[in-house]
Amino acid sequence: MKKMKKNTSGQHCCSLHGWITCLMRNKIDFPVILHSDINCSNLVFKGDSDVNTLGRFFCTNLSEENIIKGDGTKRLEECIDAVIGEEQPRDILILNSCMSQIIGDDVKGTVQKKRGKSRTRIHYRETTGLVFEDPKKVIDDVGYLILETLKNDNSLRDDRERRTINIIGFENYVAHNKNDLRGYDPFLEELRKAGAKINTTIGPGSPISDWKKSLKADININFDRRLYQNVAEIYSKKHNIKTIEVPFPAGIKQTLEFFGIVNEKLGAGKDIISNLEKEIKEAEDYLEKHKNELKKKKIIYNIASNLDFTIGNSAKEGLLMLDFFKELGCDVEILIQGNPEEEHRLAVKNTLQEIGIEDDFTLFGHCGDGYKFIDGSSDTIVYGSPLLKEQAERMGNRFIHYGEILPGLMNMKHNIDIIIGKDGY
Amino acid sequence: MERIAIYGKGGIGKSTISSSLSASIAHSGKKVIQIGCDPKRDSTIRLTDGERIPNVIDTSMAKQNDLKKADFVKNGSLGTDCVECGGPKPGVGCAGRGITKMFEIFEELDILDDNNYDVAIFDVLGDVVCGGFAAPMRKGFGDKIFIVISEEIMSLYAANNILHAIRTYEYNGIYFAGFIVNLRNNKANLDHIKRFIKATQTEIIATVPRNKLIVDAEKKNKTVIEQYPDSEIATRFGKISGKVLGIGKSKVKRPNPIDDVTFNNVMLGE
Repeated sequence: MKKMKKNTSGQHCCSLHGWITCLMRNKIDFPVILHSDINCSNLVFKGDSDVNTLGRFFCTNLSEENIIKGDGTKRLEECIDAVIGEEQPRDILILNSCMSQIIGDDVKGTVQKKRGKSRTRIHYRETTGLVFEDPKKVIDDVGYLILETLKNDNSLRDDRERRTINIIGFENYVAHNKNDLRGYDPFLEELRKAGAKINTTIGPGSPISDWKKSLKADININFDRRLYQNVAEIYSKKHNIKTIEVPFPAGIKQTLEFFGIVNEKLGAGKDIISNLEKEIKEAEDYLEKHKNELKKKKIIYNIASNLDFTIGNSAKEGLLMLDFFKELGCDVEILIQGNPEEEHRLAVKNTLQEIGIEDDFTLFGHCGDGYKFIDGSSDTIVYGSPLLKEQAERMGNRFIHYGEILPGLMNMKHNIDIIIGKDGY
Repeated sequence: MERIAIYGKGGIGKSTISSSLSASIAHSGKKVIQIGCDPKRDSTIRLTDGERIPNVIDTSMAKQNDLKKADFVKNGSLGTDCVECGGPKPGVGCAGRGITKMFEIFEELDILDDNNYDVAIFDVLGDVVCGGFAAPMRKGFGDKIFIVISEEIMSLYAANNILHAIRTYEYNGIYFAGFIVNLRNNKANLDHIKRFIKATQTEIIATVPRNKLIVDAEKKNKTVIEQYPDSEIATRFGKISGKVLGIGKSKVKRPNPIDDVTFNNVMLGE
């Protein structure tokens, strides 16, 4: 009997769903037309629906008749005309669902036909669930689109200040929660001490008002090497804001490296180390105090791999913490979900090397097989996507999800506390 | 009820053969329904005196929940009933979904109840380009499949593809019952057809020669059965229809579709 391959579900998203989620979180202020059937248009009501932003979404509501007869593009034309007629917006975005792609609706041609007929700029993105789409690429593309809509608004670039920076790659919900002591605020404070004036933070959940504000900055600091590559390009080309890439500042070593780069790029001319002496000392002391406890801890990365044998960007982001865990003295093991075949092993190895990781890793067949690596010990901590939390905890292991390790020296206490499982963490 | 599906390359004469078989079977006293599964909606035109009947897709969209059998099942000549699926204009939409939709409507309205008809003939669009056009096979509507071919090589190429589709869906109980050769030229060399039949382990059940009376009848939007009932060709269709109805699953062999390289070799006689 022919041996069947077990396929695990792909770690990727429906592009339309991803776009809608991002646009909703970004609280976009331009109209979006979904050329889709009514079920796909319903995606706007799922997850992060925002009442005000909901009103920015329109749908052609393709019927079965439109699908069979292929006359849905007429509805799209009517919808574009109606939105332009009513609002005369500066920009409109057209997205489409799988159905229109399967039946071959000429959405691109229809959009082309409408372009130049009014002052409204019509943007189109082909968004379907039929092709592999990495969620982080969607986030990047949405950011690019937002910046594209802002490119001719010169007023947004007035009063640009020297040494003012945007921090790119933050999980915005944390950065904006000023009352959350586990948030990024301590790190932002350190950054100020390093001579930088923070203009705004930009992340997947940043509202469009922050994107607009970001155009007043002098420079972008991006510490997520996998996020916002296109965004960085359009900042540079259309808005004249350069982006510098820096390592994620977790732990003492990486944080100081980070501040060193920032300081050099901004030309602040200050000695950061002397400015942060107190913070460095406290971080070092706390690490020394818990050295023995940390040595007992084993961090297990549990990473899913995509259908094209690469690992997802969230996981890559998580892997950027590898050196930090080692700095703490923890034992680290990398488990990657996937068939243990040479082709797969090589693809994963190459992906890891791209982000500078030469460590060995173990491939395991599917989600269930991962259990055998998890020993039920409270000293073993699974580090992975939040989706794995329940699974790991059910097996008796502790769990830390990507994004829980926070940047900066003052966050060392927080980071160590979650690893040693101190009360409250 | 006999459920017969007629497949074959576009323009090969499926509608002519289907309509002639429907007319001939109806002429023998059986109750027949012919279903055109082609967005061109001209399968039954020779049974309706050239009248374009309302098609299932347009009618169902217009009537929504109020759809009735009489809205799209129309009387044709010699007591036949006629249905046209309908579908999109060329180059747009999804004709395959249209055909699938029609079958859903058939099920809802019990159109093909055994008590309604003795024979149902499905005249299906050319090549099996996607799952929708295999709906008569997939859904078990047309369980006895015939393929119309001619001496043209491409008609055999299409036939071979259709044999692949039959093999794919044979778990539904469908079976290939044989080829009907619709000759373009009565003097054509048919050696390549013989080689193809041998290679695919199939059979020809009937040959329809090029005939002036068929062409004349079609010009008048009639079948040759209705227009020239006493002609030799009408009698021949009577015999073919008897054969079509007489073939059962136990009498046919499972076809063996061939790959493209073998097909080319067979055509070249190698």
